[in-house]
Amino acid sequence: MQLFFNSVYLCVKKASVLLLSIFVFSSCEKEITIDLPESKKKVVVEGVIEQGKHPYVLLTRSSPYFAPIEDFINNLFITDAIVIVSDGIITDTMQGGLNMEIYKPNPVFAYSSDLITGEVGKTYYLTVIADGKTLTATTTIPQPVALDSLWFKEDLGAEDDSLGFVWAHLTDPDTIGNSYRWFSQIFGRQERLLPADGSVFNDKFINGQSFDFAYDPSYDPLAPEDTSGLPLFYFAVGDTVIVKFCTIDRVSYNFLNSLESIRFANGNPFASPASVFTNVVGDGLGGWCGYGASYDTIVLKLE
Amino acid sequence: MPANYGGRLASVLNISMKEGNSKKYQVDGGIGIISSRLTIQGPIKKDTASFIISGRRTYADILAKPFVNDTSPAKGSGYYFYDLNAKINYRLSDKDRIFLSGYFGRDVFLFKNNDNGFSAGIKWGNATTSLRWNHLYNDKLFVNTSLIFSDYQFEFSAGQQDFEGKFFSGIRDWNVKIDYNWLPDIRHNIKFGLNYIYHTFTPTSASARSGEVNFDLGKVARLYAHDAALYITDDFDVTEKLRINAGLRATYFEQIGPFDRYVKNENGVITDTVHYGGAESNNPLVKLILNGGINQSVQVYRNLEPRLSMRYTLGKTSSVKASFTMNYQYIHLASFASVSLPTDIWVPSSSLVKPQKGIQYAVGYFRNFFDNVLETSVEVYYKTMKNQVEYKDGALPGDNVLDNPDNNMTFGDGKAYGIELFIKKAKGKFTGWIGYTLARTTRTFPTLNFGQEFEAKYDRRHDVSVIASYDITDRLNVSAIFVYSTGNKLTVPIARYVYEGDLVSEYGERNGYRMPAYHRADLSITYKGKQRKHFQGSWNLSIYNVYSRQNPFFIYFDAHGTLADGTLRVTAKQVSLFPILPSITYNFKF
Repeated sequence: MQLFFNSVYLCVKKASVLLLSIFVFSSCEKEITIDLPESKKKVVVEGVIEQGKHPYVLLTRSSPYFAPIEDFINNLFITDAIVIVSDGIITDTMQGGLNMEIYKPNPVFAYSSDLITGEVGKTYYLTVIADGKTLTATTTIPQPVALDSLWFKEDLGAEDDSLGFVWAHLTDPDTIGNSYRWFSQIFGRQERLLPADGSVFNDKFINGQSFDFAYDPSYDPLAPEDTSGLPLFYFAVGDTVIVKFCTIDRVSYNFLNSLESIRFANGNPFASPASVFTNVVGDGLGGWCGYGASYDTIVLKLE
Repeated sequence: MPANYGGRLASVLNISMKEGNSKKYQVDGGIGIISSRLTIQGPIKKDTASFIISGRRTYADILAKPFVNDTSPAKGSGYYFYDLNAKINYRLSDKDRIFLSGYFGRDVFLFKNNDNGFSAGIKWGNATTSLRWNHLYNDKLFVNTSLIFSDYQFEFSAGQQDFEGKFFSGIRDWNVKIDYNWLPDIRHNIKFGLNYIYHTFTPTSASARSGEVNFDLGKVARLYAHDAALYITDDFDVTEKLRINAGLRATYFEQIGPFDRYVKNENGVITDTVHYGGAESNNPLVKLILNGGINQSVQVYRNLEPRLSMRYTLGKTSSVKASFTMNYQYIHLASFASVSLPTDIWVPSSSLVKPQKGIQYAVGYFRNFFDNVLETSVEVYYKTMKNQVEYKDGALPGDNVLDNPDNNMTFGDGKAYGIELFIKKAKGKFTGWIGYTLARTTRTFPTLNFGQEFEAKYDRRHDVSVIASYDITDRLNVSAIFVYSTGNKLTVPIARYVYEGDLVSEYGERNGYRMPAYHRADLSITYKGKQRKHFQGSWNLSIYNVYSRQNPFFIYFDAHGTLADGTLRVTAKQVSLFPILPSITYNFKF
């Protein structure tokens, strides 16, 4: 469940899923076998650079749509690639290795650089040589825009008044094209910062305005079933929540927005069958994104 | 297509509504399990004025109820359809008649999830009113003057607790038509006339609010256009054996203000807005008065559409027909999804969207056998289409809000060709026909499918229909229908990958997958009751989809399990709409 931002997008997305469920419910459905054309494995780049932090890059392979999950997982990570990052002056070959932090508590194979640290306003260039291909990508770290304030408000429709959403007040700068991304983490319930469902938005509808908006908790696709007993879609009084609010450049927005749309559509026939936009040049997938981040922590309590 | 029809590349279906009985009152209807209908007609003033009114309603919603019990979270969901038709005709004199008719139809889809308070509704439908004056100058010349108003609306709304969002789109037309028919002598049938339509488009507008706060999604963006045509056509017997229908249609289309063109830079950010002036109104008269008739022109198109068809009689039982048709279509339908939905929107030709142009060549051979008991024909056609419209890869419905829909579209060409075989037995106790079409429809768009030609969504390689009817007795008839058509083309995911721990699909070639074929047989038995003086009843037993074929309505992909623990499984699922549906209807007439 999402609230407010890109409300119209979300509205349509959600409704098309519902439309699907109506049809499914009022008709008959069967599993079928589809012979798909052969697809070659592509290199997927997941690269992040944030101001004040070292960049990291995950390299994975795509898999044929119906391939067994074991094959997919066993061949997932590319561990023998050459990955080069540059800010135009300093160039560094990133070191690959097991990383316990990025997807805590899940270990992943990631490439990182100790030589480069993200700086606001700078452009970063990435070159990847993997599986016989050379891929390149460029991103920038925009000026961060901090949230004016954060607070908790109960949801009147919820079963008890200790449940609700985290609200924020944002003043969008009076320049067109600002794009944002929202991450959150609930201490004790989640081990890392996670992007919310529908985490990206831009100022198409809100340029130069000052306004309130809200988010529900972010969802961890890798997490085992939540055993906290708390409803999935609510924050609860007493929770300590870290919010990372980022500015992203337009290209990153286009990538992440299409990623979220397609992830949401997930095979839904009412959605346009589109592939995710990528800022990776060459025959690759994924994105290389710069974040201008600002952090806040709040302990949730009723006003 | 003769020159008196236009505005479409595809064929035109001419539907006329019957007139009410001007002598006596008459009621007929049908009460059935799935739907019911009722028609009442009769004189208002004997031999001068009559009326006819009819309505239909389906109860798929009521049918679905037993499956949605009171405790189900989906209680209150459903679908139904209803429509109403009415017509009045009035004879002013021996030479003048007036017809007033109206149509109103709505499809309603409701969804409720009582668990989380989410509800959504989709309503769409058409309303039409027309006033026609038929005037006879003499027995060689008559004219029909019509004023037609039509309004198509689509609305989608969804809400949850304090949050509410709404999407709507539509097209509203005011149409004036003057059609002359002149029969100067026995060899000529000349038609000429003019047609003017004032279009108001609402491509996609949205509103959203949360509690007391309204979101700025822009004012309702409407688009306006003049659409006019002049035509002349002559159906002419050149010789006893050769008949020619030659025509010319001159068309004019103009998009007018008010209109804001959003100019975007290469990153898709709106950097400028070009404003075209004009008064805002749905009503052409109001607009004319408000604005002194001056609305700033945005874009003008003028075209000539020549049409030619001929029939050459070879003998008593055979003939050859050939035709050439050039058409322009100024309004365009664009669809986001692989399934056609009422969310598909109409947009006018603009500076970006050029009129669609179609050129079709067709040749056919017709021959009757056994004293005209058997009619047969073979026809081939070839058609090219310019300026076809599709959404750009990755476009989303929300992109149309606060933007020009055509900024999100892309343009290309199309081609269609095929052969049609037809055989019909029209006389005797046993009647029926068999039709077969072998065809191919393709599209070529520079920005789609890497510029390579791809088969269109509705590319149907084979299309077969068989209809048979047998009168066992005067009162008992059985009939059967069989249809078969090649499945639609679809774009499907070919690969998946992981990003931020979540699965993402990668789609393959445009329309690269063909859905399974559609085929179905229906049976129907009608038993007429005894003809009584004032009453006629009949029972109809029909079975739809006799062998309960699960025809694909759409296909979707379902993922279960999680990636992290290796239980993830992806399957393709096919959804079919109607299984075998027997129904009984009692029809009556008095």
